[in-house]
Amino acid sequence: MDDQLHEAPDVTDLDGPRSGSARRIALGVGAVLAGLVLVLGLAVATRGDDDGTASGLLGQRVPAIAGDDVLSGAPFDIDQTRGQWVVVNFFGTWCPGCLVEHPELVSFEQWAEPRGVEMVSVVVNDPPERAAEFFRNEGGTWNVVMDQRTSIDFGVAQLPETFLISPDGTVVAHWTGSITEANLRAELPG
Amino acid sequence: MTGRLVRWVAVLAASIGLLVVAAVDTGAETEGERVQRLHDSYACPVCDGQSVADSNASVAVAIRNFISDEVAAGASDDQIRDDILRSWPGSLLNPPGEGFAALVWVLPVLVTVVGATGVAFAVGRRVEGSATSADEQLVAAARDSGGSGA
Amino acid sequence: MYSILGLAAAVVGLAASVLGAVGGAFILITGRRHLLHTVRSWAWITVGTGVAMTVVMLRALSVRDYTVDYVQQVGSPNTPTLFNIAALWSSLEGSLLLWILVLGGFTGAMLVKFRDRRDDELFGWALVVMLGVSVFFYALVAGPANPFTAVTVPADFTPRGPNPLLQNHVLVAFHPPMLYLGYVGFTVPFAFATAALITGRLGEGWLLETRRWTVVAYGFLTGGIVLGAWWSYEVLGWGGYWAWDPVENASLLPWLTGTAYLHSVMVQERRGMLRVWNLALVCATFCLTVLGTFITRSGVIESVHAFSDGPIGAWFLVLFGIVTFGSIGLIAWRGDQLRSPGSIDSPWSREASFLANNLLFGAMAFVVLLGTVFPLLAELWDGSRLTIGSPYFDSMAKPLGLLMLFLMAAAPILPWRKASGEVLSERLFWPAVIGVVSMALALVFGGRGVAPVLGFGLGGFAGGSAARQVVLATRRHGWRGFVGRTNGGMIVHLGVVLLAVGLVAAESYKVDRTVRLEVGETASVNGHEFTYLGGGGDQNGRRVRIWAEIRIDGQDVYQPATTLYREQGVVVPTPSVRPGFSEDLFLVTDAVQTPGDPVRLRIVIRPMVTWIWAGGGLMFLGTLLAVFPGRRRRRGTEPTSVAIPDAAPVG
Repeated sequence: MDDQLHEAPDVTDLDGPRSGSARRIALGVGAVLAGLVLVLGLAVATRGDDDGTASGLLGQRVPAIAGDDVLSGAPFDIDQTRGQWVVVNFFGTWCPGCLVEHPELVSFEQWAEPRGVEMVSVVVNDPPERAAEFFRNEGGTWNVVMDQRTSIDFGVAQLPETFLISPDGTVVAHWTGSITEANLRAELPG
Repeated sequence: MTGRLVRWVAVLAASIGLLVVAAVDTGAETEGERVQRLHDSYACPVCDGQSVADSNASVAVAIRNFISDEVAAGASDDQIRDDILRSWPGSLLNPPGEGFAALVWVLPVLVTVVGATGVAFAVGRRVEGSATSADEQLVAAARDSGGSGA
Repeated sequence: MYSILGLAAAVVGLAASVLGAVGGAFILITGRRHLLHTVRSWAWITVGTGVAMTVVMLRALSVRDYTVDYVQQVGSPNTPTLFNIAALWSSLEGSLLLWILVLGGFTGAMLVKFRDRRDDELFGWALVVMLGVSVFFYALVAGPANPFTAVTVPADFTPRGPNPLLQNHVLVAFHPPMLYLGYVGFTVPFAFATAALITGRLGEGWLLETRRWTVVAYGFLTGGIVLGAWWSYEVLGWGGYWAWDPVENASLLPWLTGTAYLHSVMVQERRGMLRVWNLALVCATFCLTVLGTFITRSGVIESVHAFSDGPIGAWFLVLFGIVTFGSIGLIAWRGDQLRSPGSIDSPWSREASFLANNLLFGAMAFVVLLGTVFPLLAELWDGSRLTIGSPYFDSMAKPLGLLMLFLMAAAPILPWRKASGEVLSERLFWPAVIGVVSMALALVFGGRGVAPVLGFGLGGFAGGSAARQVVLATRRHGWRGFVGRTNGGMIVHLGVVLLAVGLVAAESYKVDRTVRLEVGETASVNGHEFTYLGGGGDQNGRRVRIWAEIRIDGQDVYQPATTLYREQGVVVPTPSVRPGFSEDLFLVTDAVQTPGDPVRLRIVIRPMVTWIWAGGGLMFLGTLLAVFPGRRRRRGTEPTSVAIPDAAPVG
């Protein structure tokens, strides 16, 4: 096992056919790594251009929202609202931004209701009782529905998020973070 | 010689037998296991690549609940995948095996095969060359100083 | 005052590094060896300024001098002493100080170790490379990432303290320094490898010099990675320890190439072969530590662990470019002189098994690197967003890991040159029996599935093989059978087996359930009962903690908690783990407003997690034993580059 005696080499040929292969391999590896550095460099240079929160829904048909109102029990179906502007708001009572924006939405409702603008809040990750209690305490009489898959269909990533649906059923605006009455009114006629 | 052979055949047979048991005796995937597997397969869209199973972000919770609901409602893996990818393209933690992304599967195999071929050629090939005398002195010095371990 | 002191130290350190590196290169190129001692002096100055900067920053942190920029970022009167010290590496700029301190430590150790070799060119160049690396870090600290910048304290300033995740577990004090000792430690072999390439002394001289240094760095890197996984498991509350996150991958890459090097280097020592390959591996390992630092600090790849992004990232990319293309250029330049004599005669030999090892570790490193940067490639290619996560890495790592275990079983018993069938059969039989028994045990304890059961079998096989070597060595040499590189290596192998078997079990048989419980309610998961007894809370100036009390199986009560850190306004879940020999029960809860509310409890049951930590510990211990001088080899069987007696040395 410890035998260290080698047989003598046949030739001692320093300029054999293998000469230069290390160089070729090194150059090949270098080229690949240069590509890597280039990619990483481009990534550093372009980083932060796209934060990935832009909704792919803009200009698309609104996904389905259907369910019973958690307060009144009345059925709601977004397909029955064609011809009206609809504000779709995603919220949860655990979400601080939602608590901040709620008075704004209540105030907006005063303005919107006489103008025939429909509003619906979709509850995310909250039991219905808690959502109902919240609306009883904090005000707001618009539709509140529970629908697990709605937030998936809308691609809601970070609450609160709000979408505006035009009378022909197209998603025309999208906000992330707490919304204000002014934000909404700026997008609506009259 | 034959004794040796018999022993190794026994070891091999036992291994194969045990592996067959391990392969055959697995029950079908339970609903809980399926939900867990699906939770592990999607990235939470806002958590830098964490899976929805591992994240506490609200969207991860929503996707987890969605998956559980859909599985309970009898949806197939493909339906669930389509629904999630429609809203969050690229949230599949396992890259698809088609298009440009297929490279991420193919390249490692290719590199490994090329490497293995290289190693196979390296065995048995004689390379000539030599050390420099300065180097030999260093080796001798290191040897004498007793710096080398076993 | 601390600002001025710190900056002064940084500027002096930068000047000394530049003078040492540039001056040293000039002295060596022009052959004025009698001036080499000046380089040593400059090097000692950089060591001193590194210590000085750290002391100044620690002092500024402890007196909470908020006029120092970094203290304003991470200081707080409420942080306990231990975490206030750990705050040194809790953010980007401070972590550079730790890096410099460790680099200085290694430089100082080199100066002491090689004090008799002050005129040696090889050592001279190695020192120049060390100082060159130190120029880079001092330049960062003196310039774009200066933690000592003097700032005014705003009137409404409220101290924030370090990131909450970095102040709730004692492991934070150990994991980063250990990882840095590993990362930075690889600078030493890199410096000697570069020096060998520059001087043309390409034989085994540089190898012998750096053998222990490499093992030490490797041991720290191993320990750092395992501690990081442990910290992640105990602190982050996501139910796992390894997520194939880019930052985790960044630490794994140099470990993989380092492992490959530690094995293939034995072929060169013993047979004088694989010179180019070994140099390339040493350089690659160092380059990958720089790449890892780039990934961690640039924010270019999304990661949970990334430091805040800033302009620093680009600097590390530049360093990566310099060291990578520098080493490739040097290897290409010296390539022809690197061809080594000898041949690998048989696939059934130790040499060939080391080659196979290198192939597997190289493939693994390629997979990890490709998977980590591929999302960037895809985005450049067609703008598509792609996430590559655990499922991909798991499915790639599984076959490679099984092959590695198999190789670990066979390789240690293979003789050099060539093995006969008889030898193989005799040495492998009992390890193989242990493997079969492991598979049977796995089945008895309920393990199913081909891959995991095969994993247990190969683990037993590899463990048996390593244990055989240890038993033989101790029988022959008593306690010395545990020390030295070969024997220590076998201890490392045993650690790897524990870790691998633990991983197989914890990954394959994980149970993960989320349940909603009212007070008094009990959930039953996998034969365990979890009863929600209620909760409690406490608070101090720093944090508000609310916990749930969960009784497991009618016995002990565990308290998974959520903690609100007031200064940062961040809620951090703190899991509670019942560790065990056979399985860990891991509990984590969501935030609840008041103790006693219904709670959403996530229960993760993972078998044999403790084996992973034990394996990591054993690996670290093994590397320590490997560094300890072992039995002297008989003269004549020493590693040497002149292995062929009949061949006349040329050159």
